Amino acid sequence: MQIVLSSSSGVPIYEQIKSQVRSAIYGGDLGVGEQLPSLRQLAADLRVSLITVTRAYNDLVAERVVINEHGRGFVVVAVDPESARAALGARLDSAITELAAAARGARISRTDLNILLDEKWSKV
Amino acid sequence: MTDSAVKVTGLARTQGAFHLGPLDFELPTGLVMGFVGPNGSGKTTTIKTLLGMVRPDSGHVQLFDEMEPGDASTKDRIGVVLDHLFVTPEWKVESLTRRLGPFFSSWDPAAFHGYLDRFGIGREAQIGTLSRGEGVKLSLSMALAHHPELLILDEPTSGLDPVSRVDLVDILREFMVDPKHSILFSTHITTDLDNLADLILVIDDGRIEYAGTLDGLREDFAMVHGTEQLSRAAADSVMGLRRTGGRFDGLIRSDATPLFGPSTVIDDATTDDVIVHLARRGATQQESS
Amino acid sequence: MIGTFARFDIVNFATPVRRVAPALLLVVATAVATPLPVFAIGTAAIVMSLLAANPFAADERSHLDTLYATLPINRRNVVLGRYLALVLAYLAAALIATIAAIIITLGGGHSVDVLAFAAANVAAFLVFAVSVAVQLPFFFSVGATRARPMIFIPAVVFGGGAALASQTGLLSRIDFATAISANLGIVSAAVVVIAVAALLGSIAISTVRYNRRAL
Repeated sequence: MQIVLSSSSGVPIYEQIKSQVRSAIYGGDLGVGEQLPSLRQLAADLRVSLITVTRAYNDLVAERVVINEHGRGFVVVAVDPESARAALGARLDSAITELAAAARGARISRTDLNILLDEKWSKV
Repeated sequence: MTDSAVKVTGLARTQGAFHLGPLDFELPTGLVMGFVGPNGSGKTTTIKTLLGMVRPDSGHVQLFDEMEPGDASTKDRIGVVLDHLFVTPEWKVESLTRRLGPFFSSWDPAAFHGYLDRFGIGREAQIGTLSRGEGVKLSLSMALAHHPELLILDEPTSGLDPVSRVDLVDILREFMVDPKHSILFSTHITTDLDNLADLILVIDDGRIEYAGTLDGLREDFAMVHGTEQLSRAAADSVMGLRRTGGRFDGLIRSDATPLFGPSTVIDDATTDDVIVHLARRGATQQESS
Repeated sequence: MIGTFARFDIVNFATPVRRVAPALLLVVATAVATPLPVFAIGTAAIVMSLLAANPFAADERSHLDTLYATLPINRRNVVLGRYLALVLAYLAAALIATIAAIIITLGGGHSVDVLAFAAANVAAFLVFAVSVAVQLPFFFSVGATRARPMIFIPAVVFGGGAALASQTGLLSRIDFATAISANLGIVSAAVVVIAVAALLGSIAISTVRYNRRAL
């Protein structure tokens, strides 16, 4: 899981961390039972304060997305299929919207777009 | 592991016309505390009492739960960076290991050299020839070389170029990965705090104006501006009140919001807003009296 | 810790060696130039008394008092370490003076008067000890710059004392040479005790002053 933060998006940092962790879990990047990075290591890697990361993780615990296991740290719990599907659907939706806009902007035809898509499909 | 790296109760000291305190605050182990305030607000004096460099007139400072400032064993666990170098300019950088190492229980020559190399400071260099930025980096290398648990820094980034500032803060982040480590640093550059400090202490004219998290600061204070006729109570609640033409602006504590009418704009206050308007407070009071 | 600081101090003001060379040369030159080579030992005492202010001046210039405040050493041990360093430096200078004087004496074809050398060393130690004992509490209290006039107090005291003694004819009235050589052991012991007592008293005062000092 790679978290990338934006300081200018207007979304508070702890919210960005939360949503990216959720995406990683629903998307399968983080499996059930897997550990999240330690609070301090994540704070150092993302260049944010410990309290910001702590708040994000604590919120995720309140949402029952992760639990704080004694000795192991923050661990992913079983994913609810409904919310996972909904979250993935939303992610696909915004990706397709962006793709359409980018293709239009570059004046690429649907045919060429399909060719590009075929190329990438096998590589992902 | 200790619970609190620094605990200050009722700290007070008078120096000429300046009255510091009484101050009460605590830095729990494992957190970073930023100390902000205008020049002359008492930041440096407070730090000096933590280091045992000056004695308070009253009150108590406890480090690492029960230890006294100024004790040799306490200082063994503290790394210090001040806004000026405190080594002889003629000394060579490399000589610091043999001069200072024997005083510490854990001076690590390899770690010292590691930081020097990382900062690009020549071992053969004479300390007096270092630039301001290199001097701060040398101070930090010295401070970290003996594996302290608490870092105390007084204005470490002032006068540094942006690249050096980021380098320095990154090293501080690495230091904080260990949960037994704590940092207390004073600054008047508030961007240093934004993504490093867990706790912030705002000090003005020798008194603590706010102690808590950055989010809490934004909740506790607000900026107001507008054109309404202010009631006496409303005007008194504004810190650093400025009136130009028919408009007014200034800083208030959030619980004073009800004193203002619907036409007045109430915005989030940034840390800079808080410091600037607290400092302006003294001037405003003079004008109105 | 005291020894660690003393070593730190000595390395600080005695290296590079060329810094102390002029003082040592003066001492040796006195052995050569004066009729009584034993005077070199007295020169060592006077020179070291005057140099006692230097470490304090260096501290002020380079903010080393702040350094000592951050080093894991308490202020009392800084004081003790500084005194120890100065005493060791003096003993080294006195040794060099003694050796130089012995060499010059033997070189001149005379025999070495051991009693005179011993008496000279004891007297010189007293001079050094009292000078340092008087000056250092001021330096620890307010720093070398503000206490600079204090350097001259020992010179004034001893010079004035000597002038007064010769004016009143005190020296000629008491036959010092006989008195001392008859009781050299007791007199030496008494002088050393006085010198050490002066240093200990000075250390106590310096410790109190330095502990109170705001940096």
